[in-house]
This record gives sequence, structure tokens and C-alpha cells, in this order.
Amino acid sequence: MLKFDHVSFSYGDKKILSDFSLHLQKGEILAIMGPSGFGKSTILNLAAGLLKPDNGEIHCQTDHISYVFQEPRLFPWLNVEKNVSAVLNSKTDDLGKATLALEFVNMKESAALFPDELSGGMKSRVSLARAIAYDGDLYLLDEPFAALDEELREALSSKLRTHIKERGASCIFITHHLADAQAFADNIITI
Amino acid sequence: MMKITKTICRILLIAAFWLLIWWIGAEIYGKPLILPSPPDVIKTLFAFLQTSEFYLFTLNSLINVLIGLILAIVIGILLALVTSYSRLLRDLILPVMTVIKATPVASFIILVYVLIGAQKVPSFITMLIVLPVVWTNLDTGFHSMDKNLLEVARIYRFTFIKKLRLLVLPSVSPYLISACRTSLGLAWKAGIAAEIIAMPRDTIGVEIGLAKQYLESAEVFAWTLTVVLLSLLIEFGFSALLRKLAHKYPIKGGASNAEI
Repeated sequence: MLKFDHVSFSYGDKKILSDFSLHLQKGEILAIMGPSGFGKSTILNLAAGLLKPDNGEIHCQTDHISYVFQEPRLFPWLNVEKNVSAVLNSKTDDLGKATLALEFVNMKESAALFPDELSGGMKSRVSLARAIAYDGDLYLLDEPFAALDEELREALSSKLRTHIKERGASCIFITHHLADAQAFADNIITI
Repeated sequence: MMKITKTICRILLIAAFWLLIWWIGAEIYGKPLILPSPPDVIKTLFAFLQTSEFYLFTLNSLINVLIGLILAIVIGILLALVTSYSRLLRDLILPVMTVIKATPVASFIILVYVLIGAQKVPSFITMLIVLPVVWTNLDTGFHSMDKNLLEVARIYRFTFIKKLRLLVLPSVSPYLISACRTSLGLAWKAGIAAEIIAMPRDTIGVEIGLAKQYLESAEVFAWTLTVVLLSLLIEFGFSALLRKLAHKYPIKGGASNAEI
């Protein structure tokens, strides 16, 4: 599904990735762990095509990607429901997908609220709901449960893993928590 | 209701204060041919109101200014949209806008008069003077757009129309509103200046020019007052329209601090 072949990447003079290789199989969930500033988010941005590598090659078999960014990145002028349905195609997608995705993250009751009326954890869940509604072939999850409490994190993590597996999608999951990585992923790498 | 009454009273009191200053100034100066008093000007304005020419001249000037204003807004939006996508085009357009902003209006009026004739000069000049304001504001708006949200639009493969509707318009609308507000006053200034110099038939500018020649200062003041009132009326209408649109299509948490 996704292959990094001897990829290097720098921000100016700061080398972030050097000769990095990765092979993500179809249906595989891979967790990436490592200290902050070591390029975990950069890997996701490279995979999504938001960044171009300095050296090496990246092969991604799909451009249908559900990306949960580290920050929720919600449209401040759209309410929760519209933030989620924004990623749907009104001609080909069932708009009920947005409601289902909000149910998935327990945010259906907050559908009419605007982002500035939500807590950090609620914003993260809306961002996750958006990714689920889009239902990509590749999920890129950058610490999606970081702002959630323990109980919700475990419940959502388990539901999301089941959803991704049922869909046969692939996933790269970034986390600082080993327990989360072990519970969610098939394989774990540290950088 | 109480608040509106209070605001109106405040505006009237401020207007009365400045009218009084004007009146005292005119009395002290003592030359009504040069500085007429407020009653003289109001009397002249009422005399104008009795004539059919007043409405014809006002309508013609209004049409000139509105055509220029609408053209500037439409061209400014399209231009800003194009230059937001092309760095090269933006680099090409930027010096043109800077030159337009720095060039005296009178120079443009004379040049344009030679090229297109008197009748079209006011609309063209209004468009020319307002265009840089609209473009600069929108250019700032486009460049202030949230890069993170642009990435979201890219990842989730928003179509051009969806990106325009859900991201671009809400982001730049405060800048567009600010540009329109600034442009309203500017459009009248440019349009009337063009009419005074180019002298197109049956317009307020021509009447101001003639009144100046015959030292009819009360008439100059009365026409100027007409222009100010028209400008305020249009601004009031524009604000009412914005309020109506904001009520119908509420934008929460949109970009703020638009350049004024």
C-alpha cells in the first residue's frame, strides 16, 4: 500500500529523516513511536504527499487518504456536522455517513456546535469523525487520542481498529504511548 | 430601541456641533461668496430639489459611480483570485497597483479623457482608483488563509467549487467587506473629480465645476452635501445588506483584522 524507499528529508539545514525505508502492507496497521521532533509527523506528511522527499522515493497506491492531523484543523465557520460532511461528495456519498461518523466518536449530540464551543478532546473527536466519514484506503493518524481521557481513548481505539480492519484499510498510527501502540497496531517501529 | 434612539441623538448632536462651528466660522469670515453659512447652503439645496435637473444630474453621477464601483469589485475579485494562484502574475500586477495608487487622479483623468472621451471617464476613473483597494485587500485575505486548512482541503480532495465555498469565501469575506466599505467613499471622490475635469454631460461634477467658475460657493457646498448624503445613503444600504446576508449565512469565527 505504501513504500518509503531510502527517503531523506530536511527542513532547511535540519535533517529530519535520513535513508528511511518503510513498507506498509494492505490491511496493516503500523504504529510509529519515538521522541518529539524526530520526524514522525513528517513521515505522515510525506506519505500524504504534502511534503516531497529530498532523496529516495515514496510509492503510495492510493490518494484516498483519511488524515487525522496532530491539531484538529476544523473549519471555524462550519458547525461540527458540516465539518464532517465537508469531506463527503454530495453527488456520490451518502450524507448520512457524517451522522454515523459522529455517532462513532460519541459527538452526535454536539452536531450543531461550532469549533470554538468545543473542548480540545471534542475537537480531536470531530477530526477523527471527519477521517472516518471520508473512509480512506489509507489512514494516517497523528496522535489521534492524545487529548482524550483514558476511558474514551481505550474505547475509541478499539472501535477504530475494528473499523479499519473491517474495511481492509491500511494505517500508520503515531503515538507516544506504548500501551496504545500495542493495543491498536499490528506492528510497531521506533525512530 | 432605546440604544438606537441614543445613537441617533448622539449622531445629531455631533452633526449639530460641526454645523455650529461652520456657521460661526462663516460669520467671522464674513465673505458668503467664498464661505457660505449653513442656512445659505440648505436654502440652495432646497432650491435644487425643486428642479428636475437636480434629479437627472444626481442620477447620472450615481450611475457613473456605481458602474465604476461594481466593475472595480468584480475585476478586483477575479484578479485577486488569479494572482492568488500565480506568483508570477502577482509579481506582474503588484507594481501596476502601486503605480495606480501613487499617481495623481488628475493625471489619469486627463489621460483617460484623451483616450475614451468625456462620458465614460467618471466610471473608468472610479474603477481605476477603487481597483487597487479591492485587489490589495483581497490579496492580503488570500495570503492570510490558513495553510493548515488548505492542506485539509488538499488531503480530502475538495473540488475547486467546494474549496471556494467552504474555505476561500469565508476566509476572505472580511477582507472583501472591508474593501467595499473603503471603496464606497473613494468611488465618489474619484468619480466626482473625474466629472469636474472631464465635464461629461448632465452630471453633478459639471455643476460643481460651473458653480466654482461663477463663484457660486453655496451651490458648490450644496452639490457637495448631496454627494456626501448619497455616499452615506449607499453605505447605509450596503451595511443593511451585509447585516441581512450575515443573518442568512452566518459565518462563525471567520478571519478577522481585515486591512482597512
